[in-house]
Amino acid sequence: MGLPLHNSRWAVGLLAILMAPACIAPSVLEAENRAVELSTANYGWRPATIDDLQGLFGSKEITGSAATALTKLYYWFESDGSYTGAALFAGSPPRFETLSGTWTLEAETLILDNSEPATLSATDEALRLRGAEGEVILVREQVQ
Amino acid sequence: MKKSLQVIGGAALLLWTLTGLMAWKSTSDQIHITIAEEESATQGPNPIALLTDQVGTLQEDLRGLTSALSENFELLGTALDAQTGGDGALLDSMRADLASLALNSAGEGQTRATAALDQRLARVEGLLQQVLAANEDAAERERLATRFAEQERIREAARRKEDARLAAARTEQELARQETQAATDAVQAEKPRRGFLSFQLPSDDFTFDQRQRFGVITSLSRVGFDAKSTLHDFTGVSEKAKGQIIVNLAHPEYGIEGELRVPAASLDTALEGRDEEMHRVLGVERFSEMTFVPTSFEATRIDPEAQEFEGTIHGDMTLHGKTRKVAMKMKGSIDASRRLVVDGEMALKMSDFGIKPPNKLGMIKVEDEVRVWISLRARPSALATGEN
Repeated sequence: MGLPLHNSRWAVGLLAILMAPACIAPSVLEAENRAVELSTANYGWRPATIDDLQGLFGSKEITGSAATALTKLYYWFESDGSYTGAALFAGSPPRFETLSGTWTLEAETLILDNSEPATLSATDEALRLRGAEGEVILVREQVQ
Repeated sequence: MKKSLQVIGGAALLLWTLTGLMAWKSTSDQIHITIAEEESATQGPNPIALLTDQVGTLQEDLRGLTSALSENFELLGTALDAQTGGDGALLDSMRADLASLALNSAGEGQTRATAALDQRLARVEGLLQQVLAANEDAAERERLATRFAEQERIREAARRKEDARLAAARTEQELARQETQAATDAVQAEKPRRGFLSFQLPSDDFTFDQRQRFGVITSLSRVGFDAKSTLHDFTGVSEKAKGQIIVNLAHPEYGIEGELRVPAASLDTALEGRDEEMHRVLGVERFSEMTFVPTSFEATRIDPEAQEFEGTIHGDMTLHGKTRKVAMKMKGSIDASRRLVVDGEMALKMSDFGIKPPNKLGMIKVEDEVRVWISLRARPSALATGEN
């Protein structure tokens, strides 16, 4: 009884072909998920320490009213309390603005020169600064 | 009685007449009437000699007058010739008369000369009156012309001065307006906000009701399509959208312009083999870019307070090298970061753009109709000078 062996192979092959597409998972993006998700992801933030403020960071996200003018931010922090930064302001054409100064960190509050204080959180690879005018998430950049 | 009186009257008249005739008869022989015309002429100075002297004196006067008048006539002739041909002809006639007068007075007989002189002198006098009148008219015309020209010059100068004053006023007004605008812009630009991370930010005042540019933020935007097939539905997404839109969100009826550009090869369905097939049917190597150019926005709801709007945007979509007019329902708002957030969706048929829906051996067949959608974020910015 049953199919001859060569016939069985054909049947299995045909079944495999027919079943193969069913293994491809549907890839439909639901309408509510079309928008690019702004960062509310849990980066695992913790209170920042002085050791976190070393090296080059670039902005990954800027939100709040500051985002109206700022399109990109870069900071270079030195462990001696100095820093330099560059901001790319929106416009036609955009323009960079740079500055240098000193930073101080008390508890979770970061103060750059005389600017408004910002709450600083950190991960090993990122910084989050929250102020009255928005929030910036900076990720560590590699210097070429 | 009456008849008696008539007879008496007639007799008296007859008697009176007879008496008169007798008296005339008695005195007519004693009276002689002599015509003394020639006798009286021979008794005074020689009239011919007197006339000759007078004619000679008159000739000298005429020569002097002729000489003096000739010079004046030359001058007058030049001026009058330029004014009227009639005056010139008059002077010509006068010159001829004077020449004739001088010639005749020297060579002809005294009696004829006297009569001719009288006649010509009268004519010269008349001509002189005309010349003087013409001269006075010319002088008056010249005076009036000079006066008119002077008045015209004064009016022209006044008009130019007024034009210059108005132009200067307009320039001053424009400069004042520009200065005011510049000052306002400067105040806006320099209006410092609280330093954010030490950078001084410009004012974040956002006005919903103004025409402005919204530049698409590529990293925060997506465009894509949803397709159905006999096997699985799938979505293609691009995160490489670029472009801008210029519009007054509160009054989109004032006009909308801009464009949205998406690299065709950037569409990703999350399945490599499907992507290859999709890029093939889209002809991405030949038609590398998909574009949408808005032409109008038909609003169904605009809420300036909430900074939201809904409606249908119309425009020209170019896909696979073919451009078709499309209409997409969409809604938008301004988020906390002052960014324009737009979501829209529409259905279109691939075959309308010359795209043949993929079909694998008749088993895996993609439907002709797909749903195209956009989810954009755009940053507002003021229009540059000269843009509208």
